[in-house]
Order: sequence, then C-alpha cells, then structure tokens
Amino acid sequence: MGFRFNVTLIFVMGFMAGVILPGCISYQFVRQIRGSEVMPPGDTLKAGSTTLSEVLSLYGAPDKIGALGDHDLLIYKRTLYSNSGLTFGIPFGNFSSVNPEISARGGLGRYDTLALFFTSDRILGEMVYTKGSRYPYLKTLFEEQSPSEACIGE
Amino acid sequence: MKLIRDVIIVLSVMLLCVSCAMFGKNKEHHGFDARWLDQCNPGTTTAANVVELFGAPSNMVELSNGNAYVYERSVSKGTGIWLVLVSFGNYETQYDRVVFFFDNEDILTHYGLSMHSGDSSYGFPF
Repeated sequence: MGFRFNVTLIFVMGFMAGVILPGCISYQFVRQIRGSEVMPPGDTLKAGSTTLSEVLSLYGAPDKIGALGDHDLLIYKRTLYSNSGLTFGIPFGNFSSVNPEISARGGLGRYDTLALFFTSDRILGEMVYTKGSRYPYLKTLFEEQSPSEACIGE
Repeated sequence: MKLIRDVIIVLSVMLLCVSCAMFGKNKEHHGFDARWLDQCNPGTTTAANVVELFGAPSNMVELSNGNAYVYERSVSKGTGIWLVLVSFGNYETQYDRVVFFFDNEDILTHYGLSMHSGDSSYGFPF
C-alpha cells in the first residue's frame, strides 16, 4: 500500500509541476539575424582610388543605395536583433479569468554597417565602418547612455 | 532518497511532455537566375535588355549619374523551442540580390551580385 501511495503522490506532484511551473516563471530569448556578415574594409578599400567595380566584386550587391547630392551612397548592413523577457505569474487562467502576471522585457538591435560614398565618376570618396555586434547584449542593454555620447554630433 | 529520485524522474518526464519545438520557413520569391548575368555586358546592355531578362525590378534608385535597378529575394528560417521554464527562438533572413547600375543613357555600367539566401539556417540563438 505504501508503495502505491508513493507512486500516486509522485505522479500528482509531477502533473501539478508540469501544469503550474510553465505559468509561474519563464525566460524567453529570441535572436533575429538579417543579412550576411559585413567584412571590415581594412586595407582593401582606399578612398580616392578604389572603383565601384572593385567594391562590387569584393562585397557583392549592396543592401541599400542612394544619392546624396553629387555622391552615391552604398550601404552593406547586417542586423542582429536580440530580445529577452522574464515573466512571473500565477496561472489561474485554467480556473478563472484572473491571471496575474508581471514581466520584464528588453530588446537590442545591433548593426554591422559599411557605408561607402562614391563620386559621380564612381570612385570611392569616403567610407565608414561600424561593427555594432561587438557590443555585448546584456551590458549594452542595461548600460545608460552618457550625455556626452548622446550629444557627440553637436 | 528513492522518493527524491522518483520525483526528479517524473519531473523530467513532465518537462519533456510540456515542451515543444517549431521550425518555419518563409520565402520572398523573385524568379531571377544569376546565370542570366552572362548575357549582361557593361557598355552595351541597356536597361530595357535587363528588364526583358529579369522582369520588373524590386526597387529602382535614382543616382547622381544614372539609375540603379535592384532585384531581391529572401529566405527566412525560424526555430523555436519551448521548455518548462525557458524558451528560445532564432530567426534568420538572408538575401539574394542583383543590382544593376546604369548611366544617364540607360546603358549598363556595373552590376553586383550577392547570393546568400542558401546560407539561411535553423538553429539556436546562442
């Protein structure tokens, strides 16, 4: 009899845990990648001499193109978006309409970008490379941006 | 001690029972073929020739000294796993893209090709 009681108890506990735990606390992490890796230009590209043909053969088709006055802008970009959430709740949903829950969520978009400015005769004028994916997820998400960083363009 | 062991076993079984996984794939299709580029020659091919070969472009951009036609398609693959206390998702989108650059007379001057849609993959986000 004792054996049967223990097995029953364990199954009941297991069932209750399976039903209740998923609603009590949960952690979600989602990552979204868009685009392929963007190589840093290094010494391969030189402002004033590299042509559009050379850039296209090295990097392929750009993700974005635009005209800025008498210059053309080519952008190669990779987006890395991370989203996480932590949820605490009491799963009364199966028994009543009241289902108290509190959750904290955060998302961070990071961009690896190479922007190339070409003159109208299609010679590389200027270039800018930023590797946003080097910033760690949690540290960057929780770090407050300092006023000096925010006003860097002024 | 045996009770604790049994509880762990049952909890593990319950964990498996309430878990699930998801795989998904999305395509934004444009029926161009990279081999058609063999018929495109900078200096002679016109914008009309390109449109005849590749069809209507996904996007057209006016540049400082001409125009650019963009042909694009993408493949996205998503993976989701739900366990008792944690869930993970991964969604990756990669593109195939051809960009043609034309001068003011609509003559092809350059083109660029990127074929990365095959690199899109299922997986974990870590």
